[in-house]
Amino acid sequence: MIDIIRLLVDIIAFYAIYLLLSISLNVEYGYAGIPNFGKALFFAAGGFVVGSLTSRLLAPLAGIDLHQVNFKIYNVLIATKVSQYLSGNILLALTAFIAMIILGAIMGGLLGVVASYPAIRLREDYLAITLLAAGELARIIARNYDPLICGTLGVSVPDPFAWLPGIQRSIVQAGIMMSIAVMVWLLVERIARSPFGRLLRAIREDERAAEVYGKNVASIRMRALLIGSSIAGLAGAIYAFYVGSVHADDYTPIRTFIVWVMVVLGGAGNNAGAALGSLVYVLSDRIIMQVKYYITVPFDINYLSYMAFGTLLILVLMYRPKGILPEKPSLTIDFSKVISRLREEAEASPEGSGG
Amino acid sequence: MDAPLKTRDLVKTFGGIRALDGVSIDVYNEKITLIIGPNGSGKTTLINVITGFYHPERGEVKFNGSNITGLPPFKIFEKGIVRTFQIPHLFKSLTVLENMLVASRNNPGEKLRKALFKNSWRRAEEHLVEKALRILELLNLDHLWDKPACTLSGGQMKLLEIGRALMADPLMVLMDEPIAGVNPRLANEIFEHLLSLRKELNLTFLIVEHRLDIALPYADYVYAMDRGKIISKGSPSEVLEDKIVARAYLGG
Ligand SMILES: Nc1ncnc2c1ncn2[C@@H]1O[C@H](COP(=O)(O)OP(=O)(O)O)[C@@H](O)[C@H]1O
Ligand SMILES: [Mg+2]
Repeated sequence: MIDIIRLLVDIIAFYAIYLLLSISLNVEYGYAGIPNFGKALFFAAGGFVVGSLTSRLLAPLAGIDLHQVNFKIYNVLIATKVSQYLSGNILLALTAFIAMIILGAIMGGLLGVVASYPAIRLREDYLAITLLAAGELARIIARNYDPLICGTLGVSVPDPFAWLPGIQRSIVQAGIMMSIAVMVWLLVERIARSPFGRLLRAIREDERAAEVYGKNVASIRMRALLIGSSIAGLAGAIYAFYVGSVHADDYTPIRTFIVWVMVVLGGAGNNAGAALGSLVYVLSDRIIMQVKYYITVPFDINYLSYMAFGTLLILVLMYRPKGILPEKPSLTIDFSKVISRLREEAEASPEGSGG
Repeated sequence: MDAPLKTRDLVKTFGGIRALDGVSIDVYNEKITLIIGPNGSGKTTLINVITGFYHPERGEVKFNGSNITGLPPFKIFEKGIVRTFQIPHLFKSLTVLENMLVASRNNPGEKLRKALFKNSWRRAEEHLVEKALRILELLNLDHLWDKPACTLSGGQMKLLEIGRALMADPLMVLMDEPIAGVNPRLANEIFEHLLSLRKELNLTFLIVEHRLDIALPYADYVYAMDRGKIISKGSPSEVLEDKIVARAYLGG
């Protein structure tokens, strides 16, 4: 029997994460036209922050002396102890959760600036390659440098929701994740509907013309990357808390590509599109995960999700190349209203003598 | 005469080609200065050097007394110089009105830290819409305000480029072949617009044109270029009668 509530909670939690990732790419690629192929890197930044710091920072409070124990070997135990300690201290647990996801966002944003700095002035394809390479570099370092997230073994993350029993715990956590994602979505939508959002689209359309009109293209692009990478870092931190562990190999380029597919499928340059694209992915992925135990196919069943999504992408690109929900002009203010008011005023003073 | 823009001895090479070979020009205040010359004579390169898209190997660009050689394009804009391109560079998927709005100077909402607070930029945005509408009316583009720029005709695109330039309150406008590919009637109309704008807004124009027949009558002062050099200068009639110019055009 499929546990419907568990499935639903899982869908909501993963949707929150992928919604964050897809709007983060939408800011960069959809609006600013920056081909960020290093999304996994900034996602990882948040995960690595949570994985490497949460246990270590809270262990002393839980009565563990980190000098006495080998963190790499005993990290699961330490995380469990810290979780137990947090379960008795709701305020501290929530503070730790919030502090760590903010730190994850800051780390993501910081890395966004650092990783793109060498290539931000270069052509877009160089930037794309630089970011892709930086992502793989970070993953390989994390894999081989044990002190960070315990190398290939991965690291356990304390549970900041351990104070809730059973399924309630997951429901609350998923609810909080979804609220964060919705809040960020609203913020990004606000930015998109501002003159700054319009400026991003203008730079995407014609960088040289934007320069002619006094726009410092490199620094504005940097801002878009800063926003996108912070959101990805936030998503990474939330994800790490949700799955309860951090493994370097969880942050491969395939994650980046999945997010790209969501944005292209839903409609680049449209935040509703990004939301729809990620919803379609998460729903189909989670449902395929469930049904795969009941069907037989002549290939590795784990690829079914990729195949279904790939087919969908091809179909959408063939019949709706701009995505399911194409980009629309961003109405900073109600232009028609302002213009008809201006025209009425002009009618009222016929000789146009006013002004 | 007062010349806010001066270039001195500009040299710009591409591999073996000397696209600019010691170009010195003065652009006079509130006049239409025209640069003519056959294809490949270096006119576009000159505009690119003045507006910071290319760095000259030698020479100097001065604007209102200050040296602006080698400044990046966005800094050149801050000085009050706006340019148009030979092939229109519109923000294609943005609407006509959005193209105008992006061109405005100091829009507070373009700052990320203000973008989230609509109250801090709503007023400014409304004023800009009003200003944009006035300019669009002037150019007979106002009925197209909510159409994406890529749906305009070639002539309308040229007009929108001009409108966008005006939106930025420039002191000086540099135009690279504003009437290339435009039919003679519209071409004359465009120049009429420029004339009246110059009068109304006290603008200074530096216009590069390949088609002399239409452009010359509107010019106050003319430079003729050939192979990276200024080969003649003076009033339109002086330059037109210059034999060196005729030879350059006929290909010698
Ligand atoms: N970016 C460039 N790279 C190489 N050569 C160039 C470049 N821009 C211009 N040139 C060369 O410089 C010369 C002048 O070109 P240009 O300024 O475009 O002439 P015009 O605008 O008068 O037609 C031409 O020989 C052209 O091929
Ligand atoms: Mg040219």
